[in-house]
Amino acid sequence: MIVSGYISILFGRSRATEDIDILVEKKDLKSFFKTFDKKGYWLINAEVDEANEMLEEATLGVAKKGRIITNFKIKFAKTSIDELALKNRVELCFGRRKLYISLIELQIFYKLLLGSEKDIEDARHLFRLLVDYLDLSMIHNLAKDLKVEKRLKLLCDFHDRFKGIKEDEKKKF
Amino acid sequence: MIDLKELKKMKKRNFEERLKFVDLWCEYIKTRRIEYGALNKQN
Repeated sequence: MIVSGYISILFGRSRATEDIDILVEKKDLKSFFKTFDKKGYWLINAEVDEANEMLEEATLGVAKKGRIITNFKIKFAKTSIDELALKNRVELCFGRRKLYISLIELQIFYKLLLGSEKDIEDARHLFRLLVDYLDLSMIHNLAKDLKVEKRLKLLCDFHDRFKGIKEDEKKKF
Repeated sequence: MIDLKELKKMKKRNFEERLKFVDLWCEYIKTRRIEYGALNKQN
């Protein structure tokens, strides 16, 4: 499942770095890594046989053969937020092809949690573009639980929009 | 009408300016979506 900055890029954000962060369920992926060579990719920071062990500790970089700059960064789901994101993944269709991305609400919250200027810009982009389709109570409650509620004001008119939601709707997540 | 050249200049400024850039960029994308949708209908 695609997470982090590339989701903003998928939704039209103009951004300097275009690495694709992939979150995967924690399991044995040796046979999956063995297909990389045939498909024209190589693992930057591990041999195919040790890639799974590497993922237990760190992120795995993948690039096209002959290149050093990373295209993909693969990591195992480890935290409760990771697990929640995988469980609620969203299917994105390009014609017959499918991609899985993180739930946008979680993505916005996660970017607020990270809190760098670049992350806030990503969160704001997704919020501004998709605000009419988002579950604002989910973003609000996650931010409240993780004590980053003050950062919601960086999403422009979040509080004004949130005030407009009925009380019972606010509690549903 | 959003001026693309002006938008690109804003991108290089401070954080507050860049947030304004994000807002305008979103508006620009929304406009293009509408244009693209209209084009699809014609075709």
